[in-house]
Amino acid sequence: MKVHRTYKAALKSSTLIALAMGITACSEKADTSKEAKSAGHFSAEQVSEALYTVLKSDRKVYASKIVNRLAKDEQVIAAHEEWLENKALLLPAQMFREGAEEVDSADKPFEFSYSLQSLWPLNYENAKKQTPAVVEGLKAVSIESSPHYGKKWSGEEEIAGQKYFVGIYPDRAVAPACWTCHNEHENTKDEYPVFKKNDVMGGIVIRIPFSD
Amino acid sequence: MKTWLSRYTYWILWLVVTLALAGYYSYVTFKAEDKRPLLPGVTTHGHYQIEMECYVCHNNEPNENLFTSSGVTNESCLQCHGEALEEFSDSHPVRKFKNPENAIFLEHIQAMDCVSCHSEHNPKITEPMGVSLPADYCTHCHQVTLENLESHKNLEFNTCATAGCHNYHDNMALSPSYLLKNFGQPNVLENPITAFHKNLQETETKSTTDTDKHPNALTVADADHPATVTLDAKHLHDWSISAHSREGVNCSDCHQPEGQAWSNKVSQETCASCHDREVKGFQQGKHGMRSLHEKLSPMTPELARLPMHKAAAHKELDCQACHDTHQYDRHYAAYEACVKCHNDEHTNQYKDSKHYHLFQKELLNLAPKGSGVSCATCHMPHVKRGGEWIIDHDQSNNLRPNEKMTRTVCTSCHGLQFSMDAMADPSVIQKNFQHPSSQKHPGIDWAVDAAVERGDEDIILMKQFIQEQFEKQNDK
Repeated sequence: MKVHRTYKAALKSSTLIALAMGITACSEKADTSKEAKSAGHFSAEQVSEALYTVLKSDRKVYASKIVNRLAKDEQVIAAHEEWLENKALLLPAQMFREGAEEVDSADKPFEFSYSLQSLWPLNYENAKKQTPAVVEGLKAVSIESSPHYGKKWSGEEEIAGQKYFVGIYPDRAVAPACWTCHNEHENTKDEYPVFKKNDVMGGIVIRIPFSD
Repeated sequence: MKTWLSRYTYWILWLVVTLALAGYYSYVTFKAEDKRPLLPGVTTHGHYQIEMECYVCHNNEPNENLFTSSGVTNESCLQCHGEALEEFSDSHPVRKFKNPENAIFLEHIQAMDCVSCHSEHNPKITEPMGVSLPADYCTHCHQVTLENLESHKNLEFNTCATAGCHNYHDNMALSPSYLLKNFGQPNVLENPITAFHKNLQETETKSTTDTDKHPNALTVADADHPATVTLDAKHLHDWSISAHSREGVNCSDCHQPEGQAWSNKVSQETCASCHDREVKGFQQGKHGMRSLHEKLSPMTPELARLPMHKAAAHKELDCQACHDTHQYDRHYAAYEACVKCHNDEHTNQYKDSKHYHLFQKELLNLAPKGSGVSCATCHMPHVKRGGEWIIDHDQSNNLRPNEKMTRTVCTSCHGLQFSMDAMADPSVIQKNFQHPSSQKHPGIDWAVDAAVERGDEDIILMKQFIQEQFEKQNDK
């Protein structure tokens, strides 16, 4: 019995160590092979997808159950770009960015970053930040004629001498607040599409640096 | 001998000069009280008071190389400026630039380090607010915005932060929503009193009697000073009619804190035991920043860079410098204490201003409370923090930059356009607002035009109404 308990404890420890090693491995080159997963490692792509699942879910909840409900349906509080001035809710994109900036400042077990990008940005400076890889990925996930439309896109890029895994995932219009705000915003250009429910409005860009 | 001397003349000269310099700097370093010759350059107005406490800013890590690093980290700056940056939600915090996709911007401006934009001891390149970059620094990131904003198309980038509109850290001063909310106001508002007094008017209950408000009030008979201490009768009387006695603060609370021996002098720490936020504000401003550092003497007008009265040169600044020892005298604390030291054009013009006359009328109970404008009304205003009203004792807080004062002070009594015009006009400020500005700040018009362009019905109607009123007046 005692031996069995020791064995279980050893197994638990091994699992924890393997998980820790797996997370550390996220900073290594993307590897989507089944061998890596079965050995207890998680590739950058897998970690990226896990992060996307969390981000997408939180974003959907904030857009639909907070902003759309309170600002559009029940009209008890506004959501406004100048939220501090207007004592209003942050727009979903601002909420997402604030969270991303908090993550950038937090102590993390490994480095990663994320942002929201679009081929049709309302904040024009955002377009300046788009690297060639991001532009390629955004075109792939958000242009309807693309075979990747609505699916994930991944690649690699180098920024300021550091190599990154880049995962780009579709960001869809989940609540009326999303598409009405975008369609009616003063920064919307004539060439921008008119969005409707479930359209891909942009992409969530996740970057994980390679350790080498 | 002569040959030897002539052969080594330059070497001897070099040795003498070197020894003289070494001796001088050794003396300055180890012996002299004034160590300013060691400074690499003139310090900015924000830091010169503490310039001899080098390690306040240059707090290197133990193993850091002094020859390759100044030792000034972001943490060095944030230990004094962090709270203020948090308070107004810094619009360019370091965290904004950490995402690798910002590399394109960081190539031009290293926005992750405070000292990239605020380098010290460089007076030749230092602009207002301690900025040591060329004034068009916004261009590196915001060119696209400028190109796409109709109202901003012909503007130069060196005017963003210098024309009374934008500020790198606190960009709330004149946000578009704020401009639109305050569009079309008259020069003087209805009920022109401070925001604090407006709040008082709204919340004060008339049924409460004085006794109900001050259940712990003390009288002269309650004074608990030791029998061995002889008190000036005036002090005792002043105390008995002060806010301290009304709130039950006895002699021992200030002169014998925590059971200590009687002391005529009351320390800043004792004041802080009740007025902690006020003392903290005092220490964050230029009056009290030296008091945070044990080795530094208190601030005196003699040390100031602004013009001061010579007679006040050696007056040490502590709580009692402005607050009369026992009697709370608004006239003194809010005006006289200031003009006893300050001797610049703006201060000296105050007595001829409408603000001063309103202040006098209020003191004589000829005008409502909060309608007078003293030095403190603008420079140490009542502000709401954490749900409570306090007097901000950091007198430069709403001057960084000065358009911050528009929101917290000016617009309690004046329309926003009138206030912006005045705050953007240095000649009006210098004359202490004796006359309105002849120039119009275009900010509100730009925000209104943009709102009309996007079909904002409220603004369109308001604009029409104002236009009609203007035409009617012209007809008359």
